[in-house]
Amino acid sequence: MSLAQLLSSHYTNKNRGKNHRQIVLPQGAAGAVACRGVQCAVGGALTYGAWVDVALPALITTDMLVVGVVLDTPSVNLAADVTTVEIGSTLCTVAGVTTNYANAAAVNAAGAPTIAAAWRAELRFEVASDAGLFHPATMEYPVLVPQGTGILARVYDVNDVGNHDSVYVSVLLVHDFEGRLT
Amino acid sequence: MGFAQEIKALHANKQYPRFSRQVVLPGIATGIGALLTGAQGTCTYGDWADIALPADIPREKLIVGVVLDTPSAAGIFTVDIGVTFIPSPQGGTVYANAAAVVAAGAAVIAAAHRAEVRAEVATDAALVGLQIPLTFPVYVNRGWGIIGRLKTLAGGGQTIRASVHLVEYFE
Repeated sequence: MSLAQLLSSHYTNKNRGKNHRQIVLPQGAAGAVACRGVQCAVGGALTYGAWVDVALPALITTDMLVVGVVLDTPSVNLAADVTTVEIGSTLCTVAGVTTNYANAAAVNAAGAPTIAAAWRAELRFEVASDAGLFHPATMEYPVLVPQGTGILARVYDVNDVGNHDSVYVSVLLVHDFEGRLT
Repeated sequence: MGFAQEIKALHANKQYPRFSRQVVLPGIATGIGALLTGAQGTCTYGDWADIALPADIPREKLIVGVVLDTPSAAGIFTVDIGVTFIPSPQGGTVYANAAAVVAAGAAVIAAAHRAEVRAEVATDAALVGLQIPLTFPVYVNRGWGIIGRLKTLAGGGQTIRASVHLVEYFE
């Protein structure tokens, strides 16, 4: 069953939810990548920082939907600040030409039109403190991430004081599994 | 259209499911989430633990949210919600409980997974019940069990308790 068919059946049948799974990225195995978000630094007050890789294209082995965003571990100066997070994709269309970039660095290197074209979803959080409690933000309208495309994130805040505040970003994704064991 | 909007629309159109209700499991007998214990290693899942046994699921339901309470310490927690039904091309197997899933080995342990959620939580005093809705609810058929497992950034066998919000129909 394709993702489109899954979504269709999800809303038209009583089979809602029988063939999908939700995962969190980044995800770490023992001794590997930490099971937390990727660190995103702001570019300054009210200025987006560079795109950062949440998931490289090789990790997206099937079509997925981004259904939520999780923050953790804001820097001290991000505490008690209002932070806006943008989730993006390495699949960028500029002037009618679509390119799947290898990673965030490649998107950043491609320049302003590509950097802007990577955007998929913006979310805003009020961050209480670096020891705070962060509720995931779930999305009523999920973002499609086709197989083989990477997921990116970038952030800005209101009150950066010049030392590049940061926060860690994870994403919640849903994919179908068609009854397979793994 | 999100699930909540769908439900509202269905109500407005007087269509199925006019008779739905939400329940929390584990239920009134315990009144608190099931204890999940992460592995000693960082970012490594501990064993599956029972949130609801098959006998607690007398009719099909949808898991629409996860509630976390009472962490052992502040940290970054990733919780996986699963079911004891393991699909296969032949139709699948329903395991009796979390222990049976664990005993069946790595492939079954991985296949039980349905929904991961992540949250940074502060302390017992500050955490009054972290409720995480699921944009896409997880289906649980009659007679399946619901299980959970935990991994943490810190490792060291940290714990947290997990409950699930479910919607059922009783027409």
